[in-house]
Amino acid sequence: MSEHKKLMRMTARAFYATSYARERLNARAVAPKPTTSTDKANSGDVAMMDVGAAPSAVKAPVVDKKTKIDDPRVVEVVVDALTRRTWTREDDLANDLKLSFKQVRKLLTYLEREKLVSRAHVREKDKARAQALAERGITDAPDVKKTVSWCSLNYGRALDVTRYRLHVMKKQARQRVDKGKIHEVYVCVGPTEFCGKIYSSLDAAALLDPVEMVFKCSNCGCEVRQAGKDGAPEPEGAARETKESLQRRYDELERQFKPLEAQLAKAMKTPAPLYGTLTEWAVARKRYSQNKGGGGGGGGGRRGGAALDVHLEETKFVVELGSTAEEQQKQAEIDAIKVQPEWVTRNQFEKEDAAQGAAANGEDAKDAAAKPTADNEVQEQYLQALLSALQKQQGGKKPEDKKEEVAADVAAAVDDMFDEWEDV
Amino acid sequence: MFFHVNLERNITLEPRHFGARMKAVLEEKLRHEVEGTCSGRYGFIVMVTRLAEVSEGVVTDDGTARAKFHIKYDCVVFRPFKGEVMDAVVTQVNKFGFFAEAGPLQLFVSNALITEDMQFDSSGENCYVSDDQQIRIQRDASVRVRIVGMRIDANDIFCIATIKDDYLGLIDFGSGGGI
Repeated sequence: MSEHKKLMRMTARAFYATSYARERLNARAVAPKPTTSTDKANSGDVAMMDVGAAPSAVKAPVVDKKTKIDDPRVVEVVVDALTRRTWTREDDLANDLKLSFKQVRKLLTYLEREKLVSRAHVREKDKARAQALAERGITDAPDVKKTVSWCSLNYGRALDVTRYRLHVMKKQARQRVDKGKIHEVYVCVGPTEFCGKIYSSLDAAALLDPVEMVFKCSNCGCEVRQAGKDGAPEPEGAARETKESLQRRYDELERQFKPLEAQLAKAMKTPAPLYGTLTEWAVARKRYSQNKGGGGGGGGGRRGGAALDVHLEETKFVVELGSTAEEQQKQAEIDAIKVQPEWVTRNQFEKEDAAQGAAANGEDAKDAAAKPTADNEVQEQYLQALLSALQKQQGGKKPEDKKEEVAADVAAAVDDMFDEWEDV
Repeated sequence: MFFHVNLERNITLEPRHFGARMKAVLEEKLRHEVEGTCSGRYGFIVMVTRLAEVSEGVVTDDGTARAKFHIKYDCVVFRPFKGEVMDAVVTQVNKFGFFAEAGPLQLFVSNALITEDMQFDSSGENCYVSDDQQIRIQRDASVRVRIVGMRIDANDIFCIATIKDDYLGLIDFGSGGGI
């Protein structure tokens, strides 16, 4: 399987399975609510607002029965299927995967919005209808056409999208670690009428009392304090994020991104599979099939079709136990005995040596062979004599006698000295 | 950030203005109605630069004989963005942080987003003073801030900003104080 296809499968698992499920949940939660003008303005600028900024405004999403049916794993199934295909009809894809057309279409729309999938809508002959008419015996009916949607993965753009996504995620996480918490949380701590309302720093303008210059609760008019400071309670879920905890989370994020980044690097070395637009693909495929049917037709005729040739690959599983093949090969290379060059292993001067050997006298050669043996015999005799002399010496005298002997020798030597240097 | 955009609006004119100066009155009324307003999408409308197209007036059917004109106009808008750096003037200082204004835009810098070496001082006028007493952020002081959060309503924008970054913070003491 190409590196790009592997990357696509990895990203589907890493990002789009969860994000699709979340989007479906949010869509369900928002859809039944009647929108006011304020809501519209807010929803248009979701990207600029931090949803977590106003804890009081966040509500749990309402989940209905239909949403529960949607399994996030469907993203993996559909993307995996698309990596095994080029341009394909959406209905055929749904049939192959035994999923409902509506479910697949919704998912493909989402993936198109996320720039992973290219879609095309064309009007084609309704073959089923034509067949039904033919069965009924109606032959002269006009052609009935219907709109058919095709889809294909766009590997080149998906690579860019993944790179950008990773870059932005890491950048935001880094900023969070560096800059700390942005939104402060304020809690109402009225002594008489405790309402406990929670505000964020985005509500600061509404909280400020212009006379006393302090923050006051817009609900009960009591004093508002910073959460977790000056004795104010810490609201649930607003636990203070320390720099260490943020750093830990960032490290974890980097660890999880590593395999994806490695795959991204591999994919960037190879050109992405390019299927072109639906029309280009259809034309190329037609030309290719014509050339193939015509029994070759020369190399020139295939030029167009070969560019968009369809090579469908079977999924291959390779299970490697222990070290991988590459590692084994490397180890084998290290362990192998180094092949030495011929001039080291073989004597290239054999002829010259042979010639010299023949020229030398045969008697000299004999003397040279006899000499070492004679030397050995002399050495052995000497060693034996020495050994026997030492044994006699050690065996005949006691250690005490030795001492006395040494003392006598010393006294004799001293006497000699005095004999030599007599006082004049 | 400032943009030059093309917008549209309906203006209703009373019959006493139907005359030679009608277009001038229309322009004046348009300026009066739109300049200084804020929309969530385009931000603050700072100034109308040109009337691009004025439709024919249609007399309303409410029995008042007023006429409605559909006007296309060019204008300069001011739209803040997250991450944007801008200069602002401090308006209020308290223990939670300080408020500042950048033209029509109101900003709040909470004490968590002020550098650690600056402490709140309420001995005289409320201000934030650095440990070495060299920097003093008080009312009317000019500060350079970076927007980190925004709240966009239908007719108002409110931002959270920080001075906890390189080249941000006090740029001018203003008329009020100094070292």
